[in-house]
Amino acid sequence: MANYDEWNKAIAEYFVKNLPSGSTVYLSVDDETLMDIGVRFAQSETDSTNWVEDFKKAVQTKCTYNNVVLPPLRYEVQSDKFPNSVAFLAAMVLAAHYMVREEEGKLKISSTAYFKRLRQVLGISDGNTGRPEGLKEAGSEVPSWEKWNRWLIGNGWLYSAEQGEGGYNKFINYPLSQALLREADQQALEHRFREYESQGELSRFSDKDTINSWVRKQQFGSKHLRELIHESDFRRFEAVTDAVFEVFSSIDWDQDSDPTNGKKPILKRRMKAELYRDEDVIMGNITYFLYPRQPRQYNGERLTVFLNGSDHPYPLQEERQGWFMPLFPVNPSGGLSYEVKGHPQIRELVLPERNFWILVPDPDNETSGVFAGWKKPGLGEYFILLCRKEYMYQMMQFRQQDLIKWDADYPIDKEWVEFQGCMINTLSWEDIKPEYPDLYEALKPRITATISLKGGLRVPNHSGWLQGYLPKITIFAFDDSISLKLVNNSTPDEVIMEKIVKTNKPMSIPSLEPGVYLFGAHSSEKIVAQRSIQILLWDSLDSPQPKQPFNANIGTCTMRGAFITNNEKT
Amino acid sequence: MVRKYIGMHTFSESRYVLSRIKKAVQAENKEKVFPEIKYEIKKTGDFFYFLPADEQEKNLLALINTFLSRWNLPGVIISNLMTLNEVRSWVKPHKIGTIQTFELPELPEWQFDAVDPLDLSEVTFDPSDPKNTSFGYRFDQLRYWLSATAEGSWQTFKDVCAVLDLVDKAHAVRSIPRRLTLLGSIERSNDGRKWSINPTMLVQCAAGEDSYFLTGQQSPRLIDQLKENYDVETLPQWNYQGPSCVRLKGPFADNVALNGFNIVNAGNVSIKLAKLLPDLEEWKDILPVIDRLSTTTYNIERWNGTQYVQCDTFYERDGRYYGESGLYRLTKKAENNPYQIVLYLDKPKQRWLRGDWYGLRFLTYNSAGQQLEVKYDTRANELLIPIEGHLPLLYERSLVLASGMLPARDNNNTWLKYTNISNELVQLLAEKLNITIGEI
Repeated sequence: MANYDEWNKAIAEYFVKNLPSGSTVYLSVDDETLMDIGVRFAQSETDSTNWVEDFKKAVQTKCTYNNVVLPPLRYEVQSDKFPNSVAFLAAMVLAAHYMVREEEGKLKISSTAYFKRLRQVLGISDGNTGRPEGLKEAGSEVPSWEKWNRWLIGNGWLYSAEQGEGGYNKFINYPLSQALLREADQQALEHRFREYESQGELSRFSDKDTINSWVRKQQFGSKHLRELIHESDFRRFEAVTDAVFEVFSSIDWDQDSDPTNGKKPILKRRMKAELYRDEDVIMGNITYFLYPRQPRQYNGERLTVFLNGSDHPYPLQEERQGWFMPLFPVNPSGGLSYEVKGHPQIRELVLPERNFWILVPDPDNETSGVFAGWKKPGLGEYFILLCRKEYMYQMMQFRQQDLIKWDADYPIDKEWVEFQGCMINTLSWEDIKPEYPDLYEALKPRITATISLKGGLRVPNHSGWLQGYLPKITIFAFDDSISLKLVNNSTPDEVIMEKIVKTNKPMSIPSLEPGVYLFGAHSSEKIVAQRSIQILLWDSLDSPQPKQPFNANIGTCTMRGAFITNNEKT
Repeated sequence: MVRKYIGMHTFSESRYVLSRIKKAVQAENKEKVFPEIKYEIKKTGDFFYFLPADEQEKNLLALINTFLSRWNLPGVIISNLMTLNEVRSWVKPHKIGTIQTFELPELPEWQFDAVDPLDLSEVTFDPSDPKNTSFGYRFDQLRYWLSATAEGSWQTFKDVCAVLDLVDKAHAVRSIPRRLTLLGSIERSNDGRKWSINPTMLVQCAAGEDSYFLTGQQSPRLIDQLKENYDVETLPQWNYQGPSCVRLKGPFADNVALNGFNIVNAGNVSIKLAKLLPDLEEWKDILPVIDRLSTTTYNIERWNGTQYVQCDTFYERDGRYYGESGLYRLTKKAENNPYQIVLYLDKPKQRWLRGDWYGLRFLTYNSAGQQLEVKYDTRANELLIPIEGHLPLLYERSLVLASGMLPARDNNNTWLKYTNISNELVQLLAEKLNITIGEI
């Protein structure tokens, strides 16, 4: 049993912990998610608590009284710094998930249908319909959503909950926009993955691009799922691709699926790795290291990776939010799994089987010369495409069709080639019939603009810039101009700047006081790119320890600054 | 304003046609007139395309026809001005593609800096260029930034120095990490391409028992805390060539714990270090060695005392190096990764050594039989070293850590002056580096 505050903290942590800075957050809460979160409260492995009901009860106890909804106070923040409305908002999203399931096939989502489900989740039984008492005023829940959104921006993430464009969904769009894959969608996907894996059409080690490219060619009965996998909103598209791949990578291939097992959480047994590319220019060697991502469930445990058949441990050390330090060189072919010890759920670390990798410069330090699979490249951003040689012809065709350009191609070995200095050339990828759809889907841009911040004095550990040394901003887009809006995250209604700006030209940022600000690029009234920026006071700087400190060798001793260590003693 | 289009029709491979139109638009700088081209998605055969059109424009049709014929572009005008909705009545919405005519700009990509970051051969100092306090302030900011970032690459280091406007010449930035290493702020990787910050420590001045200074990581908050609790003095470096020296009045018997800051008292590091340092021959043995370097693909230059000159006397045969011991610059002009590397050839031991540039130059002079003469003022505790005799980094560090101050230069730019230097320290270094000491 957990109370409201415990659920509130656990849900907030579930969605943001180990999430790289700049990611868009979806509060996609459904029964399965609640079960997954709830097991963390379990007293023992045999604990048979129904965590969905436990959650509802906790929210009902805190947020309702005599059939009246009492939303958590707007500006109250829990002592652990999370907004205290997260669990209440999660209940709203849960209702959205239930409603989407039942409204399948209908053209328009009805507000009445939504509040019917919300009433059920909140245990309101006054016999009425529509907005319950306490939420009677249309939009009265918006401040709670906005508080959550502001909190996300303030902590370096981007929000996704927004008002709807039509009158019918203006306010219910907040929870509806958060509902991604439902339990039934996940089951349908898992069933399909298992079926095609057993037929040899899908590999267990397939990567995210392959899986999503494959899923988009599938026919599904559910309208919601069909719409999701062909999502046009760039932020939701990314979230859906992640969620689809999460389903795939959570499958325990050694166990049969159990359709009667609906109320048990899917255990996330695998953590995934990307490639981390480093170059020794003296020897001319390019090395690709195994670069593990922190799984969502990671809670600071001391995890250790073992090479198969070896006792040699590789302890995982945090490198940055969302990532562990690179481990050891690997073959880019992937299809490798390593045993993981030290976590109650996670058993293996997987480097997916891949025919290509897209590697971008370090987003925290773009001139470091290091490339890795941190994110998808934006417009105007260079990247390296490492692919199998059979993909070369496809790349040549893309270039011939003006879709992409690059500076140099460089053979790595007999199987792999690097295209260095790649950049997407156009948004128009519609009428291409690619020989390799997986590469096409991965390179095809889903965004129409990218906000780039370059220069200035950036402090990587804070993801912020120091006061007096702000970066220049460039909006990369294929339109000549775009509308750019700047607001202070703590006073979002007061617009600091809103103007039509030239694209693809670096501009100075107005002088800003320390704080968190949000840039939004708009085209045809729609938001096409967002980027938050934190301005730091010099006085706020701290002194973290380097993860890989260097020493000076003085023979029998080594030296770090004024600190001398005797080598023989160590 | 709603954008309108003129419909066109042609027979050809659509991508090819559209690509040619886009290039023609760009060649005539007409991206603003035709920011996009809408077209019917079809691989081959006849297809429609739609050019944006300004209805205010007089002779619009003539203008388009002239444009098409000038560039020999296919297409017959088949409609009057139409809105996007009207376009959609000609071509199904999901069959309409758009090509933008704007190109994203060619931004400078990250380029590997081909010059060896350890090479200080071009770094000169102009004594007629006095700096001001703002320069020292920006160096303090550099130290704060390095402290908050903890570690990074040489490229980032250079970028930050440029943002802080610390250097006016590109090569001058290469001397800054060395100065920070002398002060105990950072350490660097053997190739100079990575750096990491050092722990905060309290160091006792060599010739003043109650005087201490701070090394390593420093933040504005730490300095404020120290100022609140101790007698703190901030001394600018000579000509503001580095971050200020933060002096504290002691004595300190132990480490200093202060509101979350724990500062280790390292004592008199200068003398400790000087005692531990090896002699010149032993030092050569602990320098990083470039193993089995094949020099055949490099252009090879040798340092002649004032500059690098093309070296035709060096060669490699059967894995053996033939040439005089000394400082060399090797340049590889490979297309993908051109770079330079500065190395010391230790001919008797057939190895290439890496390290601090002044150190390798010192070895070169030493191997040529030149003996360095320094001057010591026993009353003032000052040591003068000829600029051409700059000591290897580790040895010079023991001098700088005696006071926390970088050396000053005389007006003629011939001598480096180190302060707070005890006789014991001078004797230790002279013995290890085979230096002659003269009295002032």
